[in-house]
Amino acid sequence: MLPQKISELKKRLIEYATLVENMIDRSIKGLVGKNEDLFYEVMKRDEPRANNFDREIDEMCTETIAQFDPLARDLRMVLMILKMNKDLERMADHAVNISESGLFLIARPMLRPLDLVPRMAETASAMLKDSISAFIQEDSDTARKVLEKDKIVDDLGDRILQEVTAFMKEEHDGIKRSLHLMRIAHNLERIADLSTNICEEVIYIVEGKDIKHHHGSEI
Amino acid sequence: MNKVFRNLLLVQLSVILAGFVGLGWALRLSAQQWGPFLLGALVIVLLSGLVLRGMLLRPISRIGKAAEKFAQGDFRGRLPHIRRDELGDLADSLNYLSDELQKKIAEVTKDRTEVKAILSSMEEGVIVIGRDERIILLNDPVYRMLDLRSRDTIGKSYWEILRNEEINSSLKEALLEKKTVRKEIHLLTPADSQFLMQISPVVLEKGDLTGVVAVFHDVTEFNKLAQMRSDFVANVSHELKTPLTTIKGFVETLKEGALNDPQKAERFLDFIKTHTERLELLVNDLLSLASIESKEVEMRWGGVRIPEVVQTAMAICKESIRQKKLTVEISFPEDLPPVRADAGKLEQVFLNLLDNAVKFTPAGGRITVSAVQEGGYVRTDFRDTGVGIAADHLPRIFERFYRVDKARNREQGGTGLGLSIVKHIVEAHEGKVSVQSEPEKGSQFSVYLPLAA
Repeated sequence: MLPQKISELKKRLIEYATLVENMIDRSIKGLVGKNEDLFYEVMKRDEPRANNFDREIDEMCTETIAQFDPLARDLRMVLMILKMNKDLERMADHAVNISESGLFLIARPMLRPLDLVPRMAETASAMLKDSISAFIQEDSDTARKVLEKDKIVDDLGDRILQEVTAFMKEEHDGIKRSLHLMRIAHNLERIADLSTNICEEVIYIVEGKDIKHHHGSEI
Repeated sequence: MNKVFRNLLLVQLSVILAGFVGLGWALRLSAQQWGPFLLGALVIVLLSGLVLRGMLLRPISRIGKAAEKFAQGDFRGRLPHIRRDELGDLADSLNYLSDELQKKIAEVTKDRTEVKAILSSMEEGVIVIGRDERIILLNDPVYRMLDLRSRDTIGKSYWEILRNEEINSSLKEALLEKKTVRKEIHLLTPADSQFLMQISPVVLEKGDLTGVVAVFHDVTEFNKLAQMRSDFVANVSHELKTPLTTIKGFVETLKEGALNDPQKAERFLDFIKTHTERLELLVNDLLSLASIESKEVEMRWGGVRIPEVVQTAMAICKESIRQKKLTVEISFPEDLPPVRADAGKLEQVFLNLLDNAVKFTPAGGRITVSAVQEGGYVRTDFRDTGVGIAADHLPRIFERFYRVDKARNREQGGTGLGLSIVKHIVEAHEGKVSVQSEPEKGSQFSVYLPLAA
């Protein structure tokens, strides 16, 4: 019974992750392709569904622990699914934030540094996808590879910050646009961070080893 | 496996030995006679045992070994056909069985490779999913269409592999409710694309529903064409309507009394004339575009010398070049080979490109025309020092009615079809046209035409 329950939980989480992956893709494509329909899809259609997933998975986890008293790897799996569920919920919010700022930005002339944002988005979204693949295959090697990419996203974020500040110094009427662009970059950075969380959780499920907060030293 | 027979043989031999003992008893053999008698009996029993072993046990164990090999898929071994008894028949049957099995397996393998080849050479993506949500079959195009991240897909749950929420929820619905789902799917990664997805329930075994088959048909190009067609109709109507409205306005003003004021009437008639000419120009361009596109016009192929055609086109533009005080530089290599072209059509191409260069180059600017052989082609370049074209417009300037600066272009008397006509004519020549440009610096259009045979 417990194995069934756990594989059901796993399936639900993967479905949730797929929705969130698609939400992030849509919010980025909306920005790059100036397509406001995609933003509305994220905000009006996807976000309520993401919240449903979140509630449902929470409940399923509580039920599983209460009914089956899982041990060892099973317990780790349930606990980490509970955490990943929260990570995904946050990411869905980030996709909504990106869509909101995107709606503001595409209605106005574009700021210069936009070419960095798609690159950052691409890396962040690939990190999420790989972290979910690592979870599906319960593969800690894939998870470790994702952790290394976090730096790329951080660096791109820094570069966007520099370009946006330079722009604000020159052009005072673009400040609101600059802030929205910065908000998008920040949300992408958070998506990348949460993807590394998922990877750490995968490593914990597979190896029973907590590698949080000491990257690089022993992984 | 030969133990039953071996035991039977042993029992049989013991019974025969016992028989001999019984016989000895019945003959009331003396003590001295028992020794040789028993020895003789033992020899007979052992000899017959050896003969029976050779006749029965050996062939049976050989048949057993052969059958084992067949089971493992090794059909090379044959049983020797030597005897015409039950065991010989059994060996024959086994040989026959081996032949038939081999044929059947070859057939099944062939069927499977055929199905696989057909499925992977299809343009459509096909996925078959069992009732247990596991992927039974997935053809090659799916990997590309849906940007799958893993090659190891068969036997996995579909929701682990297909990471598109819309597709997955449709599959779930089809599996649960055993119904057909048709939907247009808009994919964002890896590229913007649209698919028509049809999921139908399938019965793989007798009776019960055992899964679904999903077929993905790429409609991206189709949708793009449909969009272009409707854009075209909208554009043509708009372009025709603008001069017509103007003409109508002037005619009405004339009717309402302006006709009595000869000076005004004269001016209005001039306006009407200009706009009628614009209309005529537009209709002519549309017609020539349509005729090139429909390939109805016959091309008068011949070996054409590019410098001659450039000269003819240049003569037509001479007046406007002089008015704008433009410098024109023309340079062709001596040994430039002729190209395979329709001279009249090619003149239209060069005229359009020259006309654009003149229009978009400010007074005092420079236009350079040159040509060079490149492989099997001659490349003719039209370079100007004009206003140039911004990078985001470049990919679209050959589209019908695409204008970089709508107001300016119409002012210059363009129909918005010139470059589109250029592209179509060049393509009818099996050549190509490309553009490089930098805003405020100028543009260069290059026409590639195949050499005359």
